[in-house]
Amino acid sequence: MVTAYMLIVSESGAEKQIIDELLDLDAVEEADIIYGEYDIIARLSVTDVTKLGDFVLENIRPISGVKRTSTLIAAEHQ
Amino acid sequence: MIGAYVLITAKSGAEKQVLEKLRKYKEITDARIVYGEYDIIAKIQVPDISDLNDFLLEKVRSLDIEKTSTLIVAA
Repeated sequence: MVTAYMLIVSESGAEKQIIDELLDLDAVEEADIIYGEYDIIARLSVTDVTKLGDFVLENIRPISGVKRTSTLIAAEHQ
Repeated sequence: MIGAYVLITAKSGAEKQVLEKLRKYKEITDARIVYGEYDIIAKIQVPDISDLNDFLLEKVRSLDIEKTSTLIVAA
């Protein structure tokens, strides 16, 4: 399994709706609205790194209100 | 309780040692080495905001770290 953290900058006011959509996705283990340089952080878990790319492109970036994402992939064997 | 994520840039080569030290603290609920614009991400749970301040200044920032960015979870 590959774990990744997605840092999301959202459109102003879209934060709660994005969190709700994220939490409906099986791969999303945890998602929080945060204060600071990003608006939302989500922890994902997928079976391998190729799935991560598809998942982000097909499921996260199309969510309405998502402006910018930064994905931090967890190193394995920790 | 206050939750926060700390995005950490470690000194080059110190990543594993920083991770191991972070994981010993009970306030840290999740900590991993990551690839990307930061080296380590850690989630913290503390009773209130003053504890967060003390924890970051005394325990996290005293490690072999170059830079941290703290993102506080909205209640």
